[in-house]
Amino acid sequence: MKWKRYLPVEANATVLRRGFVALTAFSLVCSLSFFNAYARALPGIEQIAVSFPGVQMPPFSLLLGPSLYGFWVSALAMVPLAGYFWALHTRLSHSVYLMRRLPDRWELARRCLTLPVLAALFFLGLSLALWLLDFAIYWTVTPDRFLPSSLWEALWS
Amino acid sequence: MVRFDDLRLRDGAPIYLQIMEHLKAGIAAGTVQDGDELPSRRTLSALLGVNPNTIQKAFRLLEEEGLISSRTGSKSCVCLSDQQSQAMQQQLPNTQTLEYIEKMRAMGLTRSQTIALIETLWKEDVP
Amino acid sequence: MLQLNRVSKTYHLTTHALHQVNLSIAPGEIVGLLGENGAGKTTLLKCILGLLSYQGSITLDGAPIGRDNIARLSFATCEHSFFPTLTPQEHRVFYREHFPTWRDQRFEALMDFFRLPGNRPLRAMSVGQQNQVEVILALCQGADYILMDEPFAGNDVFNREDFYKVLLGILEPTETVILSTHLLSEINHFVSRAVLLWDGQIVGDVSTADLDEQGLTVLDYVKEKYHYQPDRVSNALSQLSGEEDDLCGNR
Repeated sequence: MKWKRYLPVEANATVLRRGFVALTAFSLVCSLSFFNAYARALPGIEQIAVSFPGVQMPPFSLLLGPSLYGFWVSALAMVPLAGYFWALHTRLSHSVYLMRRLPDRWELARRCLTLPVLAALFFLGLSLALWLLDFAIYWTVTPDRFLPSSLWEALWS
Repeated sequence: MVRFDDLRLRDGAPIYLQIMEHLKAGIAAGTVQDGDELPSRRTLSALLGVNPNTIQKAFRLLEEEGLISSRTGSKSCVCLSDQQSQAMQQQLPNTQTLEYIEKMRAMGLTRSQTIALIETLWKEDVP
Repeated sequence: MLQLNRVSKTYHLTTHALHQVNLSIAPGEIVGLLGENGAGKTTLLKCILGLLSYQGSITLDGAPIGRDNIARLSFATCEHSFFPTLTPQEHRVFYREHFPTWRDQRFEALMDFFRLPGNRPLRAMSVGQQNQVEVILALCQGADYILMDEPFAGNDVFNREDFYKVLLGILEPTETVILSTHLLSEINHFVSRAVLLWDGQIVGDVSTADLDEQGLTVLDYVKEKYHYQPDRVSNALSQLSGEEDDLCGNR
């Protein structure tokens, strides 16, 4: 149970695991909004191009919309989680008096911060990965004539 | 082993004196013999609920009076010559009687009145 | 030697919780830290442990209290520093892991003697039992200086008497106890020294051997230092009844 060293002594690992899975699932579900938007935009644009040849695909950021918000909310939720871990040592009991007396000066910080920081990085990392994936789809699947000439322009439109 | 279980500490008199008195009373009564072992300082400290320094002081003074001897690392024991034993056995009744006389005087009784009182009230010695 | 030099603690720039406290405590002493509520006893103990910031210096054998010597200090408090959801046995594992000087035999012996359930979560125990486990953990950490802040709030007198006696029996000559308490009468024989705090300052520091010589108890000493007025109550009462008599008289 080496990983338990990175959680507060009294944290409920099962609840935390379930919470983490729930947040990840929630974030992934949110991210579907891009695919949904894109799946509607592409056939639409083909249709419009028949009458208006110069038409362009909607900007990437528009199609992206709120699909990454789930990850960001999850990452932000790690801040109150760290606060809760701290409260476990000061409200539930005063075990903070014990933790602050340990020869290992980083014990308390390690237990309160490791999971929130790693989880926040995970969610942000996942959001970055999905952002790249979504753009990859946007750039490669859309026919060239509907896209601006430079990738950079398409990315930041 | 000299027993201290029945020693009840009272307020007002220094503890180390009470401990010393307890031992002397035992000698006077004959229940404490030459060679009897004393409990270790720590045991006695825990038994009486008294700080070890106090126990240490009592033992030190008893040793100065020549009533006990301590060897480092082992328990102290009573060391009494016959002379000392006898002297102690006499001493306690002496001290008690002197105290009694003082009390009677304080109440205003004379010597003959006190003796008469004793004669009246002291039932015959049981053989 | 635990040395405090001109230790002061201020809150909000104006409240002096501690003011220029000088104190030396040698190994083996059993020190009673006495004073009324708010006198600064808890603050003093927490400063020694590094749980609060302060001005002045606190050293252990010449070195400031830091990570390399913090394990030489242990703490038992009425606020409880244990993990309520854990059992005493789980605490044993935790302490053993973090404190190389952990006294395992002593822990078992004390848990046995006080008949405490080793496998019940602490929050499921009575306050008295919780206090006992808190003190036992502090005693078994293997510290040289055992600091206790009103550890027996909520324990009955038999419990406490037992504890003082057990402590006297198991403490080694190198172990030092600093006990903050307001139970003056019962610690009278137990402590070797009484340090009295008033309003953040030390107003009394005496060995119980000296008090013994003078025929004083710790309670007598504290009363004297506090200028306790024994007739305070009767004075107040006579004033009150005087009032009533007046009313009756003038009716």
